[in-house]
Amino acid sequence: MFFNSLDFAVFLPIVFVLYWFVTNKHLNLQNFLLLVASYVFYGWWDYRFLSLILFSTLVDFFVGIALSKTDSPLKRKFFLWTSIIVNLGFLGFFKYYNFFLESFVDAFTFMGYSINANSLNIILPVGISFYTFQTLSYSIDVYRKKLEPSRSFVKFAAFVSFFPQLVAGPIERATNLLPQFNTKRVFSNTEAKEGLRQIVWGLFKKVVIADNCAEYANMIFNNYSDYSGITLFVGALMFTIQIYCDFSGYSDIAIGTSRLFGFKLMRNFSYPYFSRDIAEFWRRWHISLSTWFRDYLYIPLGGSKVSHLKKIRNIFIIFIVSGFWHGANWTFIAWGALNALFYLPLLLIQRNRNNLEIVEINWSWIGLKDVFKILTTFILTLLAWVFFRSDDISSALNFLSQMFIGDFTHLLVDIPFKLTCFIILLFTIEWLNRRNEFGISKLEKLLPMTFTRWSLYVFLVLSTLFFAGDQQEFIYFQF
Amino acid sequence: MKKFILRLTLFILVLFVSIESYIRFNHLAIDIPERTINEFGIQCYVPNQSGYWTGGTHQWQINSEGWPGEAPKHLSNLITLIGDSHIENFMNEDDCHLGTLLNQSNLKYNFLETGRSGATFIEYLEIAKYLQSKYKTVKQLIFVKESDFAESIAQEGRKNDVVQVDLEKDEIVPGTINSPFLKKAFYSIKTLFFFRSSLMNAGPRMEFSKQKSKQLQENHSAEYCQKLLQFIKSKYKVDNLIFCLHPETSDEIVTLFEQFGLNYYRFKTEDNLKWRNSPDDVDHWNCFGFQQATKQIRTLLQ
Repeated sequence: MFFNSLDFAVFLPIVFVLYWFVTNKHLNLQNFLLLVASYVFYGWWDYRFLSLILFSTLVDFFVGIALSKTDSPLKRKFFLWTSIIVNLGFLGFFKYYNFFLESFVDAFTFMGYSINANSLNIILPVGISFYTFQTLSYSIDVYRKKLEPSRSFVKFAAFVSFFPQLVAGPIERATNLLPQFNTKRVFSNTEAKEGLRQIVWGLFKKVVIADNCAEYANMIFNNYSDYSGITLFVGALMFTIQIYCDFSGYSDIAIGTSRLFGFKLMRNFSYPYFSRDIAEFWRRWHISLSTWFRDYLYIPLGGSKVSHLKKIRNIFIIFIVSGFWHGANWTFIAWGALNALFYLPLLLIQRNRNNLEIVEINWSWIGLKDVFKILTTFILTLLAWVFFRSDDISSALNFLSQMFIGDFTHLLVDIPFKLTCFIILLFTIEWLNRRNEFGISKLEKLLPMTFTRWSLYVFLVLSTLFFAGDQQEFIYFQF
Repeated sequence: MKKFILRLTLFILVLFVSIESYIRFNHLAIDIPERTINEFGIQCYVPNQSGYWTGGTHQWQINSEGWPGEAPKHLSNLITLIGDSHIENFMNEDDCHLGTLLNQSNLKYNFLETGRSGATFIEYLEIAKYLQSKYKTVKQLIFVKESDFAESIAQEGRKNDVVQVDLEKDEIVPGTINSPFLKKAFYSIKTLFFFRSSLMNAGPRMEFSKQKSKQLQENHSAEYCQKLLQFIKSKYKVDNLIFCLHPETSDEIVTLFEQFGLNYYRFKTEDNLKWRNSPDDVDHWNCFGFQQATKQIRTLLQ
């Protein structure tokens, strides 16, 4: 079920009413309702893959209990590796099997050997990368004794499959989300209001901005050899905006929906395009994944408290694995490696933690120096997105070379005035409200009059209904 | 919770009013004319109405006779143009209506369009019978498409709101206007109508089923046509009728009209696409299509 569909518009109020008015007296019943709703939500897309989630849930549930019953390091390691192998095994099979097979065939062919191998026609289960990482975090945290294992299967299954964030995150840490299933949820008017605002804002970003930008990004990337340098730059710009609005829009809807049910999910985006360097960008972009890799990969590898050589190795590992997490294609690996290259100088001169707060946190205006830094960071990320969006490495390189050496005087596409206005409006609102969690969060300070606030909400909903781009799947569904 | 629900309800109300105003102001949903069934059992429109076509590009009108388009100045020496939404032609301005174009073409006749969307082939004949008795028409041109045949036969799926023929009982099954009050309310609330239309046009599954049913109809159209023509020959006076066949009508159908000895004319086009209102819309013409059709009718009547 898509968040931007009529199905979800019907599904959400039904679950909301059942949750707060029918099952609200019993925590177990509420959790059970969430579990059923989550399976319906996922099964709407393809019910056959529910068995995968169920199996993964069963394995991690029993691994958690087994871990709590033994102090033997050998046994504990065995149980942890069982969870890791099962989860990554599924992920590897569904997502990477064909990639590895084809890469081996290519490598052998390159060396002069001819081998025959048949690739499989595998459908990638939606959200597998997200829920796999979520359940892994549970097993690892129980193994590290940071978390008590769940004794209730319903609670644990509801945590794994919690529908707002099941298919595209935020990738929740068990230490944050699981305890919320143990405590009685109390309806909060403020949280519900913020939740609805966040849903409206997320839908606006996805349906109005991302889906409209997608039209131009797709047109230009799919026929890049026909376009001038400036047109390719605009294409890359459109994709840069599209991917932000698409993915952060999804996260906003997910977090907003969770709020309606009394859950607090972790923040996934924090105005990444206002970052002043790449390190700051990575603290603000897909936070749940970056911090996952930090906690479960970077720090175990020694993090930054090791020799320079190992630091460099760790940075490359984390960025390349992060790229590979996105998909089985060399373009994602190149995207990760390029980001590592951008990040590395900051780490080596120890300036990677310079900009921890949002730019000009206390002031609306901005100095020229910061403008320059923001624009430079934006351009660097834009260049990296070209690899992310391209079909293969050679297309990405051709795109970039044509963008730099091609004609920069003739723009061969007309970006509609309305879309330009919407994009300006989006970034203006985000700039003005950058101290808060999302674009229209806690608007009471910025717009004290109810009339103006409501006018903005009505405008956003009307735009979503009447200026929607051709409906597109969320980009991150494919990961 | 109570406060939240109250505020949410109020917001939904404000939102609804805003959406409704936006749709009305920008004419995003077509205005639907009110229908009536006259004393002869013919379903036509309530006279003297007007409204906007989608997007507000132009207005349609229902003339004093209860049919779309401009009525001729005189109703004597009259030729009627009978059809469904093809002749009703709300999607084009009045200047591009067949009746208007023919009335401007200096022929000795007056032309009255009598199109109504959804009308079936058998209903055309019922309308023709009624118009003959009312206006003593000189000739009647009936505009036929292949898709008209199947929907005329009750055995192929009963539609309560149109006239059909029951071929087993060999009798006409009259149409009714289903839930007129509900329909009026539904068409008046533009938000509902707009989103229903948007949803109807969306989704590959719906497109597939539409295509499938259309294909099914086309595969059997000759069979349906033969049955209907037999019925028509035995029940109606067809001397002053000319069946104007859509340019994309198959040769098989044309042969049937010839075999049954009916007056017919198949429009000729060099490029069918140029006549179409949109590339996928086989059934409706654009202004160019109607201008070309006018020229051919003019030659036919001279």
